[in-house]
Amino acid sequence: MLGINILLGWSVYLPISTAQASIGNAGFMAIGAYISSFLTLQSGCPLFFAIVVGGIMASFVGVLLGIPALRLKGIYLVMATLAFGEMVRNIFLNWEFFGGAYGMRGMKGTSLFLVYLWVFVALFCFFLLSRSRLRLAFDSIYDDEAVSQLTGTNIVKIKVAAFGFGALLAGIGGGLYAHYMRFIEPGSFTVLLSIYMLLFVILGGMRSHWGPVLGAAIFTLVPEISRGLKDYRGVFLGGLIICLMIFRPKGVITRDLFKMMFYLPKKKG
Amino acid sequence: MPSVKESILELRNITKNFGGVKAIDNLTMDMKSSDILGLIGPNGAGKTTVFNLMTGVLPLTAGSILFGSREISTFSPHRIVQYGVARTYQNIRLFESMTVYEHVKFGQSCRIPSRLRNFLGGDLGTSLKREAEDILHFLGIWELKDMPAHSLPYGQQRRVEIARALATQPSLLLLDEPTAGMNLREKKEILQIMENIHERGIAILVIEHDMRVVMNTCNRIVMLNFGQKIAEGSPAEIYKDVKAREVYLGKEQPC
Repeated sequence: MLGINILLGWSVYLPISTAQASIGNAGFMAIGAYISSFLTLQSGCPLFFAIVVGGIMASFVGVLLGIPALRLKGIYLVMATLAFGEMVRNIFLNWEFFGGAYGMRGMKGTSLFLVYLWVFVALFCFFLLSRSRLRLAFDSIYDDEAVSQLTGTNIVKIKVAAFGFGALLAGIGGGLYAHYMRFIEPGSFTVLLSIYMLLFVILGGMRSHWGPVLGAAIFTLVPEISRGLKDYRGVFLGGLIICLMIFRPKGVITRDLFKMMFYLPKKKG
Repeated sequence: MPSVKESILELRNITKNFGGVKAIDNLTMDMKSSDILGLIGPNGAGKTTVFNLMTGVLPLTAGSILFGSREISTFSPHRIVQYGVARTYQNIRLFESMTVYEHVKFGQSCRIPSRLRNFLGGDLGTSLKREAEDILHFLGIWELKDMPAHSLPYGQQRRVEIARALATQPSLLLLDEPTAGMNLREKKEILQIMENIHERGIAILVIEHDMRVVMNTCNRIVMLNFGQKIAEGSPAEIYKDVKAREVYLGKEQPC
């Protein structure tokens, strides 16, 4: 579950690093989950392939949504993605072909290895990204879109790409999720899940790909660790979020933190 | 110095309306590649609007803009940059999360055809690196290359902005008040930089309020008022022009 959450966190991190906040990623996740489940259940297609197809379909829809969504900014984009997520959920809810409200069951085959394979593949891609000029393009759009364009960036291309790759990760995460839970229903992909994904990124830190990893870890592990608090678990988690926001408003992992970790020891030595 | 006589930039009857306001009214001017052209005029005359029209930020209401011999007024901003128009901004606009060196590197990246190639490095990588180092030395900000750009003092930030613009390898550089808010020594340094850029064969179009700067560096001046061209000529001609003095110079203390 942690691995899946990390992938989901990254799926929001990518659009955010080009200044596009999305709370509709549960929609992309649902697309990935349903399509891969359909493929493994109905056509006996191998799991790996089904997950890839699910991811690609989600990313295709993501690009379609990304092109008009580009005109929206800030809170308006958030509203549009929210509406999209709910739209997808309702489509699956009413589509008997995919089981309607009953959902789909019987998928199996996710192993821990498979999940972390995807996580490491994605991590490697993020590593390449962080060393490439593409990251500069992402940063520039995050900082100042107009100037970025006036320095020769095709911001439309890059923003849609970021949105699409985010959707790809969400779709893959959805496929893995479906085969891990062995049961999906439209109720699994509510706005709340999208908000959680966004929280992974915001709390963990949105300027580094390690941020969502830590955010996902906090959100997956803390509820387990604090199980002893019983009914007050939610209160504890809520309090933790507030504390993190107060003490690390830019997220736990920021770029300055890396600089402190890597450069300070050198100077002393 | 390039001895090319043909014009690098032509604005033909450009007009820009904001609602009912005519920000630019039927402006025609041209520029040679050996020019340092000064664009002057009182506040609100439409100088920055001209820049925004030229770089594709705002669409034209009427008229056409020719760069080289290409009509660029319908292009999107990033393509105009790729054809060789770079600019700086009236209020410094740097990227908060980048170092000085990264600004230059980012400026270069618009010229790279495929972004995938960056992973490979190779000859392209080394030549770009050498060029970036050259630009940083040229502007005297080599020592600051690993500093976050927004933590630098104002004067240095201006240089980073110019460095970023130069990294796109422009043939025309638009400077929007490059010496605003600077003291005399810093102004002189920026003027020196402008002259050095010009020696590299890059045409410069500069918006400036400081008449000393304009009179000393520009070889030609266009004066705007209420979006219309009211005077054009060499600094000496502008200095004598009665209409121009009325609008502008009369209130200032010329050198």
